[in-house]
Amino acid sequence: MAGPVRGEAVSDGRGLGPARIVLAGLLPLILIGAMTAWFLGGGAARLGLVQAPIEKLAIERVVFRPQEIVLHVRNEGPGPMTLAQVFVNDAIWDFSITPGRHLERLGGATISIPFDWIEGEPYVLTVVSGTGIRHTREVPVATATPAVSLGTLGVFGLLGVYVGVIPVLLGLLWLPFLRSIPRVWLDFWLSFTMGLLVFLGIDTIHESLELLGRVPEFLNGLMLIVLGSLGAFFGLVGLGRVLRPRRGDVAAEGGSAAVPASGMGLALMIAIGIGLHNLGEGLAIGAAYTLGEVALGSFLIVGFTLHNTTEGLAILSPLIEGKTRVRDLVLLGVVGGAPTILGTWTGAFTYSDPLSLLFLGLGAGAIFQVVWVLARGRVAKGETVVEALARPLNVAGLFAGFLVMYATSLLVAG
Amino acid sequence: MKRVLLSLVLILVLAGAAWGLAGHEKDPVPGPVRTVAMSMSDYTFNGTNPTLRFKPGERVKFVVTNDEDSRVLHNFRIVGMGVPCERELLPGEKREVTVTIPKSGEFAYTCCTHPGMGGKLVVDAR
Amino acid sequence: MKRHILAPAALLLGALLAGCGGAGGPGEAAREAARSAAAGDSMAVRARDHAIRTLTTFDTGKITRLPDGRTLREYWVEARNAEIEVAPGVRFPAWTYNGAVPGPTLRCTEGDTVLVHFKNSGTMPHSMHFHGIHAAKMDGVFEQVSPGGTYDYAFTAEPFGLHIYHCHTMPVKMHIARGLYGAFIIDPKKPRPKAREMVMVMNGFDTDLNGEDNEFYTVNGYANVYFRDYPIPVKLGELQRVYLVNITEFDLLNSMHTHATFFDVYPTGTSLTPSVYTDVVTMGQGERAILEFKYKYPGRFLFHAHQSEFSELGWLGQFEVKP
Repeated sequence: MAGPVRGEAVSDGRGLGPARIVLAGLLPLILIGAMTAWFLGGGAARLGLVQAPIEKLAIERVVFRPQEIVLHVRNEGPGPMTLAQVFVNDAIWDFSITPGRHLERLGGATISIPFDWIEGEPYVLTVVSGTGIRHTREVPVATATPAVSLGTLGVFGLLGVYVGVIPVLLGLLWLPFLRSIPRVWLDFWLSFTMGLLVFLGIDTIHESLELLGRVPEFLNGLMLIVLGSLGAFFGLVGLGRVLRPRRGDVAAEGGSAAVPASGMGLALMIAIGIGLHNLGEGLAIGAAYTLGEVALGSFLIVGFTLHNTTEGLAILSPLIEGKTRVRDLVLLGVVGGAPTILGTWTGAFTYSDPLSLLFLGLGAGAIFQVVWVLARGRVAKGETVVEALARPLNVAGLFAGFLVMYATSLLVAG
Repeated sequence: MKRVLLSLVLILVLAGAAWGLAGHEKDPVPGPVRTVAMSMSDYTFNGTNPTLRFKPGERVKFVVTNDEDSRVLHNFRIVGMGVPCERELLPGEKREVTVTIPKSGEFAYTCCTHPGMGGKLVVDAR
Repeated sequence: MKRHILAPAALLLGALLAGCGGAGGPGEAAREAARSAAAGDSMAVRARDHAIRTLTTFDTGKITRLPDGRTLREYWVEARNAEIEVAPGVRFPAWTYNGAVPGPTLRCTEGDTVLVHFKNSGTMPHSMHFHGIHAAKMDGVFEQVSPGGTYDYAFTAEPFGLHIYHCHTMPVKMHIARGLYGAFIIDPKKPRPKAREMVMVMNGFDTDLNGEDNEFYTVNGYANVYFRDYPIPVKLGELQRVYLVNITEFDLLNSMHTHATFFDVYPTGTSLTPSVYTDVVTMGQGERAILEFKYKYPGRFLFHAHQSEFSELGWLGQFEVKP
């Protein structure tokens, strides 16, 4: 008999039977498990490898309630730890702790401190462990953490509407203008959109990197960002398969099965991407206000508003060809803007640094996916993407979009 | 329609995740009520500011009386268990408050006006 | 079909098992908690008891009469490492004289021959440096005692007053901060007027060992012990005498303030005439004074450092004055 035919599974004499396969797979794992158990069960001591007691307590969240300060803490060190004392501005203070003083590895606790704090003033909160090590978090500006109520939901919801939904809808009003200008400018406007979105994407990554320092190390914040970005990117690619162009939309050049090249489908994808980004932005606004880290001046709100109006423009670009119903426009505006409200609510009431990091990653991934879609849409037959983007109108559009965002971002600075 | 629904679902799922991750504790189930008397005198609770121990989920009624023999005002709170300071008690007055002991933790009970007047309330592990 | 599922399933199971073999499951912290609660409670009790004992305990040594009529007092002091509790729940790896901080209060009379048998059972070289007048070899500086070694310090007790002894091994900052100190009283030949006497050694603990600052401040070794655990009983109108020592490291000054009473201050206790009548006495490290006062009214009265930042980190106590 000749040797195995290409493509067929090899059998007999070279491969293993099913039971042996299982054993072969398990064997290294069992050995590793045994070695680990021995090492941790006393082998380390016998080898003379002493474990340095690195203790790390993260004060993840500080909540200010009427005459009370609440700390949410987590043991980030390699071993269990005990919490013993609490200082507020270097003074021993009474406190309650639940579930208890002893924290396992990665265990958390909530510490309630009865303290008459003053709005707007800085506080230094310290937790002293049983080994006498201080773990401190500084709050530059004490602000009452909003309790969920109809009133506060309304206020932060309104903030999200003003900063997110309205500007995007306003931006959509540019549709008649875009429809009236010469068709050849379509390339310009779509590239403009790309430049806009590239700026947004990089800005989001930058924000998330700045937040890295505050996220507990064991959560590996950088990977959270990557997870969010790649998740959004490929998630949207999958979504794109579902959202194919409807019958009647004009198929522009470069469209494919996975990517709706134009029309409502593409606009919706861009809106979703922008919506995800705005979720992160809303989170940042809500959190900044309640964490007392940024004075929410009207200048800041105006800045965000202008910034988001240009996002409406991004959503419009695929709709220049063909007809669009008003209710579709409204839908796009809501999809792009409404997540801001969810963001501000989350940021104000249940803020958590790791969650924020994940959302920022999602937002960045979404943005870059949309940029990729738009870039591929500019490609004519026989061109590479880079060659397509190198065309004068595209280059001009890219830079114009980027610069507009840069200009509006100056208003948001701070 | 499908596209609209899909996009809305996506956003709702993300929001749901946010709320879910924030974490919300469930309250323990109530049972029969046990009464604990606390006497505030000589700027102490029961003379020694004792450490009180309870089982998780117990329903406890604190009857706190101001037993000072001169005009000293006191009040009573348990930090982190939803028993805030209320109106101060004159000598002879008492306050009753019923709580459900949480699953675990150590809580400080104090008189809000007098430093050092207070002790610990410890939830015994099962 | 079955074949293809078995292998990955087995691999997954194996991975899970290997993961579980890792550092302590959920039961570990509960066991650790129970262990340390039991240990911690007894450490807390020891710290509290030591602070209460130090208040009114004087080690007057083993007394023998020498042929020439002088009194010989012998003391046994051992330097050893001990983990102590310095504030509720907070442990500190101390270097101690006789197992606790502060070390024993040694007491003798002016003119006595003092013989201190010092043994170093610690892990670093140590010594005993007495504040007093004595020969160079008895100064505890150039003669360092290695771990396992012994040394006999012998000198005539002079001058009368309240003094201190502490380790003088380099780096001195560290050896003092780790707890090697205690009070040393030399009574004048004609004893002071009868009074209820207390020893208060003011100190600090740098529990995170950063060598820069103290996390807790105490009197006699346990934060807030006389405020929370043991308000000091005082008889109304009775003369109280406090032997007050400042051995706080890292902070330039410490002080003591009594509420609702003023005291006579005898700086270093080297005179029988007080220098000032006040209610706040401030001292640099190594300084000490004898305070004498009476309470005129009954009730609870605080005493604490007037550096409020120290009083809020453990240097706070109260006298409970009763008729």
